[in-house]
Amino acid sequence: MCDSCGCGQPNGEKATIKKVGGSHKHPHGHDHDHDHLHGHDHDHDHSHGHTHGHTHAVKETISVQTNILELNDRIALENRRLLEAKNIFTLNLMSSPGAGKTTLLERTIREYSGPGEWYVIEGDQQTTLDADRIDDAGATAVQVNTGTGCHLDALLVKQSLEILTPAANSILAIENVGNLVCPALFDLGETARVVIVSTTEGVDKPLKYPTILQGTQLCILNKSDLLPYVDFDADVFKSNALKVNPSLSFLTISATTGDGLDSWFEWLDANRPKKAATTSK
Amino acid sequence: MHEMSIALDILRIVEKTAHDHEVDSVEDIFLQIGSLAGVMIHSLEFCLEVAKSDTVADHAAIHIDEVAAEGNCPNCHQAYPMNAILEACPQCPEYYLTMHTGDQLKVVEIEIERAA
Repeated sequence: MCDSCGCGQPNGEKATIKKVGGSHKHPHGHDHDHDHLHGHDHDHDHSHGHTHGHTHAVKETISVQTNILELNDRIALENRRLLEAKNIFTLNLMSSPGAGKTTLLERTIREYSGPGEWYVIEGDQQTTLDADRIDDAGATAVQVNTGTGCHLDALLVKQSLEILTPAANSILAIENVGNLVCPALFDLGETARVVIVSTTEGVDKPLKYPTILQGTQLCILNKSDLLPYVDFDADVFKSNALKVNPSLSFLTISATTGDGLDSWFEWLDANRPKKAATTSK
Repeated sequence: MHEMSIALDILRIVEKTAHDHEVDSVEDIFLQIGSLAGVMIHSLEFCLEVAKSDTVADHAAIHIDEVAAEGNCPNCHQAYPMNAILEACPQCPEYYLTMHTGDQLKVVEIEIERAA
């Protein structure tokens, strides 16, 4: 038995062709194996063992066995190769709307003293508001408006890179569309995935939206300045997140007051491609 | 909402397969979707219905085989059905099941008709 789908075909057969049908164009699911001659009229529609006056068609089954995300993953791989060749540290920033991605990026662009220019791909359904803020902060930005789309995919990033043309040894931040569900499935070609959760969200977010944390390296807990005013237990939050992804790292910051930003800058230094760090001296 | 992206990717795969086999119409599309693949099946069906118009799959019937997720306990090594990505072993509650099936997103095969 084939182990990829459990069908009766032997393993390793790419295109299996089998002749199964008769001449009628009809919905599937009622192939009869009683292929006998009927001596009387039926008023229903099924295969006969004799020839009618119209053209016979042969039904073919074409084995495809293709992962639906393969196209996205292939383009993501191209992006990754291109970015790695230029030593570009690429971050895929994901969060719910309003968790503070853009504010964090603005401060980072202004205050991070590490080497390299910043480039930003801003994903939003509408407006260039975020790209304008990033531009004001001093980075080169492109805005991708996804319209009704709820995430960025590898092709949108590839097209953005053609416009953005980031320099070697730079840092590229991809600010995904604010959404904890859809972006999780789409590899963009990033070096690392960073999820930002704010203290005004629930501690059960990791349990409710586990997929977003699964392939993520760093979880930033933002809006720490609001901790005295909200019912948010950071330890419970972290223990929930670790259930989903035991190797997840955490930073607690406030992008508004600047608390904890040093730890974020240290994380950037520590996780940048090593070659970029040496060429920057 | 990402179901529309998934639907469009499915149709790209189907169109390429049809083109490679020199056919311009597809009768049936067979998909395998894991129950924990992050895709809502009725939403995907709706998106496919809309997106397949004016493609080789215009009148194709969509068949979705939903694969029930199952995982193994790292402690007792037994397999159990999974209803969520994060599911504790029913026998060893301190251990979480590791999914071994149920995250598939796959075009399995298509059926076409050729004039004999």
